[in-house]
Amino acid sequence: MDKTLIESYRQQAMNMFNIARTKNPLYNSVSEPVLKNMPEDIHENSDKNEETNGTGGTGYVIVNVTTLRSLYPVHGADVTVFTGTLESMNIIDTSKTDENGKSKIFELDVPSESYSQAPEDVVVPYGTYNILVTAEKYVPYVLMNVSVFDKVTSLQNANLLEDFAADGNTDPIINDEKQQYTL
Amino acid sequence: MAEIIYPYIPESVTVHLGTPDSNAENVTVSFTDYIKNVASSEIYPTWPETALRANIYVIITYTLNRIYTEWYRSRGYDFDITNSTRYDQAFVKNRDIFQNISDIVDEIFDQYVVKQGKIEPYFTQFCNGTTAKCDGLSQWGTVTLARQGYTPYEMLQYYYGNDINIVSDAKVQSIEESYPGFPIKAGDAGNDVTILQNELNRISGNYPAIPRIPEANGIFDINTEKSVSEFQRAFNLPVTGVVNKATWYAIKRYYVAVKRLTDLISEGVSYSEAEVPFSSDLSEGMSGLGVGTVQYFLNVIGYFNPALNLLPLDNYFGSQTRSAVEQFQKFYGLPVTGIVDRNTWNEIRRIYDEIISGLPEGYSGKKAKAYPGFILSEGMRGNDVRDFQTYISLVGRYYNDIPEIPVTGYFGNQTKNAVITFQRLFGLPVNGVVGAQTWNAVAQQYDYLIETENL
Repeated sequence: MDKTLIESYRQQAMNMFNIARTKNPLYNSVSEPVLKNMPEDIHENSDKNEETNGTGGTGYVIVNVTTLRSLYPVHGADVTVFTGTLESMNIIDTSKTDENGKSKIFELDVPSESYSQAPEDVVVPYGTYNILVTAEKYVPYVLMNVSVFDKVTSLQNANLLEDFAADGNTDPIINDEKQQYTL
Repeated sequence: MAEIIYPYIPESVTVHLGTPDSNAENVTVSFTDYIKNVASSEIYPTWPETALRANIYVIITYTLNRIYTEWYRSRGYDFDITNSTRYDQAFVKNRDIFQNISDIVDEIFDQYVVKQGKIEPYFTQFCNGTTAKCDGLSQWGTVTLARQGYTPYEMLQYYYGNDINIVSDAKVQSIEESYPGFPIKAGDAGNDVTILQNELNRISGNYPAIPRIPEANGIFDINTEKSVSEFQRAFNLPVTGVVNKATWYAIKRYYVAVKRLTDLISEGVSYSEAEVPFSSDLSEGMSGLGVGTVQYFLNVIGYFNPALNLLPLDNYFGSQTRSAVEQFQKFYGLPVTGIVDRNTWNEIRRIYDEIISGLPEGYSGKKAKAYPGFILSEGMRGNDVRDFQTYISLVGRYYNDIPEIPVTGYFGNQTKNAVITFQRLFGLPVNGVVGAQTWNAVAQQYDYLIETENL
């Protein structure tokens, strides 16, 4: 991807994100995403997904955007795959969902599958990426630490909530999928 | 003699996101989504396929064992299983699912391991096999066995003994029609096909990329094949145009869920129109129609906002209701008291009204419901009969020849005559029973008349 395209994607994503931010002055004071699920063993490498996403393999992600407890697809939602934090996103790629609520198939750099074949390997055998989903009239939704494996397609559902807040102050909803395989 | 209850595949699983006694949230997901999530959280999708299958059999069986033995519920907990790996299996809320794991689960979700001579799903313990050893399957061990050419069944025997069987005909809760055991494709015909066509047409209302089948007549034609393909594409299934097991259950599951929501909304028309006087604050311990109305509105809101747990509509303000009120207040920025005071009530009404007015087409409470999937005939009773009578009765109000019959829920002689008259008038086969064609024709008339009534 050429740099100007990446830069325009970055601008678009930051615009979408800022719209959510300006609606809620409280959000500006949050410096890190709030973890929804605290895993039993907390490892420190969760913010460094750039370092674990080595080359050697390619993984795939399809994001399915829905609403109504996944009964209804959301057409035209903006899906942004990024690494880093919400405050300083490193945008990898973006897509708009089709009539079925599906994004395109994202192709992402991940460690080679050879790292996942024996317990002695110390390299984390999958890549982690973050995903921001926004759509008009819906609360922005962020998925952190989505696991992606070499030659494997990840199906990520993003069920959005309609924004009914009377005063326009809506926090993005953040779902952290960070987990340690106990293998 | 005591009746034997056989294990069945439950519609959903309630997972506690922590150790059993921790103060953590519970989340409820469909059974297949739960299994796919656990498998994606416990093992690497890059492992050999036979190893994946063996692990998935074990995950399914372990889950069914917890549910069948009511392990947690009988001890007073309000969930089926936890996501603590010290006690049960890993589960990461809302995580991504790996396609290959998803496909395997769709194929074997209704199969589980038993010890020969027993009906209970076996307590299939497992562990990683390196830092933890146990009397059961070793996850890394299955990778080694896979490389040695073991089949999934042989791996299960290796870890659980030779005296095991795999049960493969478990009943699936809430899905009346089981997969017939062979794929349904172009050229096939029959009642199964009619039902599938009606279900696909209902689904196409929400997924416009799925074309509507113009004639749901029980013949699997090229239009039906196209709709099946587009359904598969929309639902991340291999696109073949053939209704295999995975496709069959995906269609049924979605149809059951969407019908339930539509029914819920239709019920609500009477709730929102009823004048319920709000005389005093509603709190725990109270009962009555006011409580039932609050429960109903919170359920509709809960459909749109999974942060709210769904409630039974029992008109009693117990701890579940109080909990739901607190969740609502917390989410929508009200003081969290668990008491429905005037402000809370107004906010509940406001959100509910916004939801109803913003609903996608097809969910409007006033329109006729979709064909229930089976033929209604004389002697039958129930809600579907009642609904049909409502629709044909309104039609009867506008067409002199069609009698305006009482809505009783019982398909008697009067109803049969009304059906015969309608069929004759509208050029349908005259047989006095209500199949898809007749239901849809009556529903169409009803919807049209309701629209014109509102103008």
